[in-house]
Amino acid sequence: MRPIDWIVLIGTVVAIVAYGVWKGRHKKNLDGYLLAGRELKWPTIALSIMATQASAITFLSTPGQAYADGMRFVQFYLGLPIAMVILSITAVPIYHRLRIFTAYEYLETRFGVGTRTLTSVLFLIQRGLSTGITLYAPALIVSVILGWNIHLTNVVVGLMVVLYTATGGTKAVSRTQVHQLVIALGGMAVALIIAVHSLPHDVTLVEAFRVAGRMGRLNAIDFKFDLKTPYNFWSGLIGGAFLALSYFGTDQSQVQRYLTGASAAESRLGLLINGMVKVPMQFFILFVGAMVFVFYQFIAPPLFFNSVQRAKVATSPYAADYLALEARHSQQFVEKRADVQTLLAAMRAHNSAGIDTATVALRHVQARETATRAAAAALIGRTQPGADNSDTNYIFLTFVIDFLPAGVVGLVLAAIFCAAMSATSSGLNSLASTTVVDIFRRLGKPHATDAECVRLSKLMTIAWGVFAIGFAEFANRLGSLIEAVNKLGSLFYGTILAIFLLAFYTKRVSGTAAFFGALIGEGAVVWCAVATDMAWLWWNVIGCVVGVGAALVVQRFVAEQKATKPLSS
Amino acid sequence: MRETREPGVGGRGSEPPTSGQEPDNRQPTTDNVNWPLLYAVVIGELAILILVFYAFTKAFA
Repeated sequence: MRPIDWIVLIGTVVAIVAYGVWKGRHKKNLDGYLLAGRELKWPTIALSIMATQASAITFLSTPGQAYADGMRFVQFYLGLPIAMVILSITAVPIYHRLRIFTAYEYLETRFGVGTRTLTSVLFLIQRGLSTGITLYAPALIVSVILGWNIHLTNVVVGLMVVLYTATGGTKAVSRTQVHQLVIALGGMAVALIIAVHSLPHDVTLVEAFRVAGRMGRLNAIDFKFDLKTPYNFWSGLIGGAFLALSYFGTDQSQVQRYLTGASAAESRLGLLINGMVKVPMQFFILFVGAMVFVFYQFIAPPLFFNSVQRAKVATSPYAADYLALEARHSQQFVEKRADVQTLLAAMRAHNSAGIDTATVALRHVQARETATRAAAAALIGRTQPGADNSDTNYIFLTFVIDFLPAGVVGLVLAAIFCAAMSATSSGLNSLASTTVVDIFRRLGKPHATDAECVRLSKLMTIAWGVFAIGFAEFANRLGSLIEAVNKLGSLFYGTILAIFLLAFYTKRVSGTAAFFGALIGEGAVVWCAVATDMAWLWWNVIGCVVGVGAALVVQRFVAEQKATKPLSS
Repeated sequence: MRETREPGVGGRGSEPPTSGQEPDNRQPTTDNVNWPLLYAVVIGELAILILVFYAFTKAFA
């Protein structure tokens, strides 16, 4: 890191934190603190929703995902626009009519306090851990690539987020997220431009596309139905829709963003804009990774992108084995670069047979290189049992540090930290809201004053911040971090969605039946996760379908309990 | 809009914002939005994106 990078990084991050503290400086009641006075307009809501979902993991791990596996991850988001429409029609009007603070309050009106508490607790567990991962991800990656102290990075970033989130509440979170998202996307755009400009001068953009496509990195859509494939059109559209319905409709970290709307229309529009922008945005981020992949067809990449693990294996009893793999990898790179040049020559000559021949040769050497990288990862796993032997998360930042010019490195790092802070602040903000509104005020002290609740919300923001920092200190071995976060969420989202669907759409299901249905649905999800190799996006469908089905069956057997009329009818 | 408040819901948070919280009135309003049309636009855009991505996949495969 050069001085200009430090100036850009520190200047941007400090400015954002100061802006957040300044924006949230006024004294507030609980409505003002937790829901920004319910006065925000749709542009702020839309950007806040997007910034909450787009954490640093999105900007670090997603390009690496495209490098290693192509662009098929974009299919994960295909169900999201459908979910935005459904939520705009169903959940938003109900939440606004009730003027609730948290999504879980609504459940009490339908199923009683037990179900409200169960979903609140499931949310607190899942979001508490996810917020820790959100904080841990960038700290881990910059600590490896830049040699920073991971513990110090965790603590410094965590405390900065706690500072403006605790003092300013939701208004500070939403306002800063607008700027954080703009900075994050701007940083990615600059990285993309430089990646494309860094290609050899005789390689055009279209040729870069064709090389990436021939090597399976532009595989955005796959219509083949396969329950075991993590990302295809069907899992993305169906499983992704269930996941998005649950995440945006029942996860307080998102619900709180659009509860801040000045009206139901403002909240709706915020969600719909998110539905329109999110898929192209993810395509763009994956595309950055695909271009980084093309770049590394001309410049030799390291055998393993995690430099700390590389250094450790070099001093282990397996050092000679690793050196042999590196030599093999170098040889394969030379072969691959020659094959790429042959492919480009065939393309320029419009020689179809030559293109096919070169593609076959290229894919063959690519497969051998992939096997060599897998062998290196296995070797690292043997050297340090329990170590993280996936380097997907390090690919993009390695490219940034090694090849981007002074100042731009600082900008990209600022983008990553802005994204980390935005997602973490939403997480802490929602955890504090749920703890205070659904646990403390509902079960502990129902007559607490607004001033007491605001004071406790601030304390809870700090407490959850300390928890997230603590969890981040111990998190490791999470593989692709963006998958880890979504897998963790998918363990719970289907079940929570089942409870909300029962509340919205059934008249006769009682709280007891919903409660046991949720437990059975959660059991089914855990069984799928532990005992089957079903792709994780389908867990959301299983949890929801089994949860709803089980509640309907249980309802037939439980003692007649007068079910209240659903509020949506 | 009629305010519905049920036991355990909403609490005492409906007071107007305290002084010092400036209204966010510099941004576009949502008057006269044709919601069915907007929903169709969102789904239509998704369909177009899927087709474009598929064409992108096929064109460079």
